[in-house]
Amino acid sequence: MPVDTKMVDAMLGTFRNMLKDCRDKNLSGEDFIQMEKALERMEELGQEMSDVGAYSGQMMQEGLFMKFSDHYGKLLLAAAQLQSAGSSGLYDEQTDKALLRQTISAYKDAIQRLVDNKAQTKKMLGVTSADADVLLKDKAIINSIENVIKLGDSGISYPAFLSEMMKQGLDKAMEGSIVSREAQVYLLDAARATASNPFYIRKEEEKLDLFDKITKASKTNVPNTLLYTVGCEKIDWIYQPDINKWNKIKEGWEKAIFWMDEWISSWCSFAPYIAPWAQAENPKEAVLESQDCVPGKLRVWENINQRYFHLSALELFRHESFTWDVQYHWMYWSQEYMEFLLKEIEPVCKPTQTPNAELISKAAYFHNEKRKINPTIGEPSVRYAKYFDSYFGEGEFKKRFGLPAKIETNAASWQWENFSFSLI
Amino acid sequence: MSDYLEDYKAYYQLRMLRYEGNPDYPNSYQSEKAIYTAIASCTALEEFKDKLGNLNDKNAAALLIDEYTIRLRHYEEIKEPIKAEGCKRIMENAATIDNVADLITMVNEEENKTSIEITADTINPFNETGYLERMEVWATAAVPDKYKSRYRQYAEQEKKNLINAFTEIEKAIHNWQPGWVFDFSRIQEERHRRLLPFPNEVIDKSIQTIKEIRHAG
Repeated sequence: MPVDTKMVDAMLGTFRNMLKDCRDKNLSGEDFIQMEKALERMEELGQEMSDVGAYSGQMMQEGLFMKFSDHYGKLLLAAAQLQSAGSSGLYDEQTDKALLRQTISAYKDAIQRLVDNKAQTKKMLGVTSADADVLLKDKAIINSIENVIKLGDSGISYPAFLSEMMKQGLDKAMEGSIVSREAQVYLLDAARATASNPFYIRKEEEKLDLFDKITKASKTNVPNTLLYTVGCEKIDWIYQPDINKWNKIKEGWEKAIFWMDEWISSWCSFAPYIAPWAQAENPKEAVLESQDCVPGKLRVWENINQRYFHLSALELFRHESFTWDVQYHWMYWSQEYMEFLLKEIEPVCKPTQTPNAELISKAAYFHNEKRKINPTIGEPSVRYAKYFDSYFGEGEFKKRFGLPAKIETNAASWQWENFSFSLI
Repeated sequence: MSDYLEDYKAYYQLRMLRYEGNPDYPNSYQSEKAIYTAIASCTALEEFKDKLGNLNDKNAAALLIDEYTIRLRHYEEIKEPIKAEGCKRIMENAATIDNVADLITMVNEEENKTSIEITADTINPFNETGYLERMEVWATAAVPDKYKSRYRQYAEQEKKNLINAFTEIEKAIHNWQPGWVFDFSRIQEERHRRLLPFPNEVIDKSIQTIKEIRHAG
């Protein structure tokens, strides 16, 4: 069975268009033949193979994308050279005018392509077509190109035109650097709105600073794209170990809470009738298993984290990731329930131990009075919606994705200043 | 009326000055300087074609070498030897190529090669610690006897999941690099090791456990 047609179309669509474009322009020769051969082979593999991963890997191994692009580049280069041939030499008035005309014409075509691409994107986006106006910064690019065209039409020579482009930084602007800063601000705003951890925010802040520094250092006030790219890669490189450690420690305390909650809740009389036990084949047996086995699992988990980070189950909660999740409203549990779990349940959640009646009664109270869940758990969505709306229009987030259902909870909001680790 | 010769002189001088004093672009500066020197010595524009020769092609190679030197410095600094080697190959080859078309082909080929090497330079699924963690929980949790047999089965299933994960990654990488096998020594290389937030003894023990499981499986 061939590879899914939709996948093949997505992977080969651009190449088919490029070949068609060359054919429409009546380009021919050895490079054109090689492009045809490379594309034929890609189509052939799409028919012969069935797994999309294997298909993509085989094309990579045979270097088919690379071969196609290579011959495409050579074909265009030869066509451009052919267009400027026929004059008396490379550098004379006639050639100069031809080159300028050719360049300006290419820029005019580029504007048309940008307009067409945007129209196509809008059509694809359907009801959310207005997003294209936010995401595609074509207006800024088109303005730059129009300035270039105006310059070319001003009657100056080709070298004077190129000089002006360089002086005004228009050559670099054409590479897209005018829109990069806006893109970086968009990413920084997204990181701040998400606030999943401090490193993602710091990374995007540093990338924006880097952009501004490189721009300032540039003679034309346009940043060197390569220095910016490697600089961003280095920023990602610096923070990745911290992010990995943060996530792993967070996983440590999250799983510990999950098990403490499962264990104490399993002792409540209503346990067989609520999730997760109610969904089990035999809810009562499942409840018994939680009562009997969770403490053992929690302590193995504690040992694992001790080995990883030299932190006990309780010490995991002192990590900055816990504070962060409370402050940025990622914490699922309410403060009062968390204090109950950490202060009263953790010390007794040990193999062969059973909680006393008072603890079971308290756990039932938290459940029955709906005081287990953090009342501000919906804040991250609200925060993100605000960011989304600031780019895509008031109310757009809600319209497209809805807001999370309001959590039914009677618990008080977290008061971080009152949460004392010394009490734990 | 344009004075083409003077306009070209001004243009090439500007190109040269763009790199003057820039420590990142010494080859480009020299190359642009050679072109400027050629045009500056012309008394008529018609002379330029002969004087230019293949300096434009050399200029492309010079820029390429400068830009890959920036990349090389970066990859050496962040200790990414595969990416650094890719840069070195391109720089060495660029120095021997004197036309733009061949330069483009060479860069495409080398980038393709590096891209495959990067794909094959993986330590997945070793970095997915969940397999060993779940296995340890099921196998060693202190639970009443009546659960022990079932928990042992869960631990065995987790071992199978781990073996499958290694088999799958090898199968996937074979699409790019036939014959690829998971190399445990790669884990200790800094680019991978720095991303694993665990002490050395944890890493060593995990390697040993996984090797034993795979050997037995």
